[in-house]
Amino acid sequence: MTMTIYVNQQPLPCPMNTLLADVPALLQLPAQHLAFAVNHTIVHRQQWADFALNHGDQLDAFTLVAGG
Amino acid sequence: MSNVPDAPQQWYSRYSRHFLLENFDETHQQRLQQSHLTVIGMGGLGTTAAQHLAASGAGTLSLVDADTVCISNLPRQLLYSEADIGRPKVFAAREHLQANNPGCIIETHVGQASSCELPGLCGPTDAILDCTDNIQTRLALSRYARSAGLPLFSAAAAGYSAQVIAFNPAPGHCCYGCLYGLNAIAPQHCLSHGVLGPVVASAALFQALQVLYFVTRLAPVSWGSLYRFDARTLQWLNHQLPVNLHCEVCQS
Ligand SMILES: [Zn+2]
Repeated sequence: MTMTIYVNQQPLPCPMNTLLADVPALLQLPAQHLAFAVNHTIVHRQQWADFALNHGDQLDAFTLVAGG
Repeated sequence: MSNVPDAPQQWYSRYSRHFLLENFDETHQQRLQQSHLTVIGMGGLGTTAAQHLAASGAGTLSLVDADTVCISNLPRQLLYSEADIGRPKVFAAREHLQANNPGCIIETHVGQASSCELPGLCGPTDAILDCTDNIQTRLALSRYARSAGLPLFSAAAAGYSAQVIAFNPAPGHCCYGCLYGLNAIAPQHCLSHGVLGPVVASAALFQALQVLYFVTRLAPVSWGSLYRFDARTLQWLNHQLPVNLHCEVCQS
């Protein structure tokens, strides 16, 4: 069984019960320097492994900056 | 140069476009005039934010920066001119800000905003603007703002990205430490990566607008909302930052 989530507005098919911690590998991106918001709320890295995604979830994957 | 307040008629003329705004009256302008704001870092962010706050009628600005003006600042830091090269940024800034609005009191501090000096640097302020270019100062500011009960308006920019977030010092709100704890800050700053003036200015203008809303109470501040601007797609996005229960700044 698969479902579709959206990462930065692009559809991403993935298995049911996909966890947020699985998403970097699905995106073929290193998890380092990556932040996720799910449905407009940021999810702290410590919660990724327990954070189950649902069909239709809107994710934003981004990095932060600190320059000025 | 010292500050020269406007005569009443001139005061009304100067801010006449504010008074034409819906929901904006003399009370809002007076709140701005009574405000004391501290700008830490007078680079691309701080110059732009300070320019708008001083010109809009902020009563007192405290400016903190250790640097002198150099030619590579000029494409982004429009407050300075070629004649300022080599001068401490805060002195050049005071001169140019008061040339625009002599009613604004400008306090200057040449130096780094290290954590031990923050109480003296920030003094009796209503809000702190984090316009720095390094994580350690940002964390120190967050610790200080939290302990002193001061709101912290944080802006950052690098490459094609800008971000702005306002932190409420009350318990139960997130802080810069919570943002830092995401471990998502790209290892870049404007010394090693490029940056465009309008990208930095976008962050600073958004930051200044939030401060203006906070001081005048013209609109609510959405504390803990991370606003990100992607200059490549020209999109602003915002996400709520929850408190990180492992945060070393607000949870210890
Ligand atoms: Zn925190």
